[in-house]
Amino acid sequence: MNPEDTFIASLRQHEGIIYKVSSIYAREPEDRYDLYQEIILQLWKAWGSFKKQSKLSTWMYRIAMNTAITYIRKQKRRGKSVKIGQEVLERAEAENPALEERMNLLYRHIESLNKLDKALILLFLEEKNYEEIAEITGLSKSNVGTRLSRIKQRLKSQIRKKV
Amino acid sequence: MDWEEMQHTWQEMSELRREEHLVDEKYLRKLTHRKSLSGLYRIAIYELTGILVSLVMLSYLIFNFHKLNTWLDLLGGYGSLVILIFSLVLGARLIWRIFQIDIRRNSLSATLKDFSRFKKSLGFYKNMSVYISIILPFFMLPLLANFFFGKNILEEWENWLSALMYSFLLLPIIFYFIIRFYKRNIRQVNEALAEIEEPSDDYNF
Repeated sequence: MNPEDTFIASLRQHEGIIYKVSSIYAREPEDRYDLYQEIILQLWKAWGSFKKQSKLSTWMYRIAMNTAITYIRKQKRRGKSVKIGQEVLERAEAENPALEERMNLLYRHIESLNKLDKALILLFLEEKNYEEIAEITGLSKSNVGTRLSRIKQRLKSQIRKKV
Repeated sequence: MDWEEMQHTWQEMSELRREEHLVDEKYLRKLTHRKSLSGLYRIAIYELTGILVSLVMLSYLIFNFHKLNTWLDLLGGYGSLVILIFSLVLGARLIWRIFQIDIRRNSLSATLKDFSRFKKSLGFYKNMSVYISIILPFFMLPLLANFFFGKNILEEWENWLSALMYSFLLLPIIFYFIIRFYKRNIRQVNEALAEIEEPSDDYNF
């Protein structure tokens, strides 16, 4: 199998990671599609340097999040970008309106967090352990724990205020 | 929505995503072969172009420096040299900051720190560009008169005064193009900065 085939196969196994990262960091549909594409491109560029020293998903989270936090929005879409189409990224949730509504509410709560905290909460929701979160973020395990507990408190009080 | 409901909603969404592929293989292959949409990449290209232009101007000035005879020409020559070298250093520093951001190898926190440093450099660079665009024409005028028209401004001060007045008229146009040149990316950076400038936004870790 050539590297591109291996990459595509690995990507399809973990497509959800890219979708979730782009959804957390870019709420406007056009920005989300651009970010989605940019993450895939960066993963492909980095594919040759993936030495299997960490889990593939850990590696993908790190690069996807690094791409997301350095992403600078465009004013308008360039004609050269591959058109994925809104319907593709929204398809699964559009078929379940109740879930879509809950997800939008969830994203609105997360939107108030800064970039690092968004990463932490995303990884926590993905049921990553503190060690994996520390590996991806470069924080110490204790720092991860402290920050996560602060984020949860903040989100809980935010949710209580809205009720 | 309470905390447990948030977790449950996320799990439900994840299950749904696991069951189906978002895009087909053909699209994924296309994405691996296109150019980067990254703002950082675009800023780097613009700055590299600017550095190239400055280098050409600097080389031309150095090569023809011996033609500068009057005090005004020499003032313009040295002033332009300083400004062009300063611009080169600023531009190179900005590009260096961009290349420091290694999203493939760095952890998230390292990337955030590097990106913050880049944003600070960009803000400083933006301000300096405006000042340079105001000052540089005054130093360049005598040089342009000498190099391209073989004229000594001191001997033709009325013409120089007219040229200066024209340059004041031209300044808004020059500003417009300079600002427009950077406007798109600078506005995006400012918007991105504004997005993350939140009370808990410290990256001291």
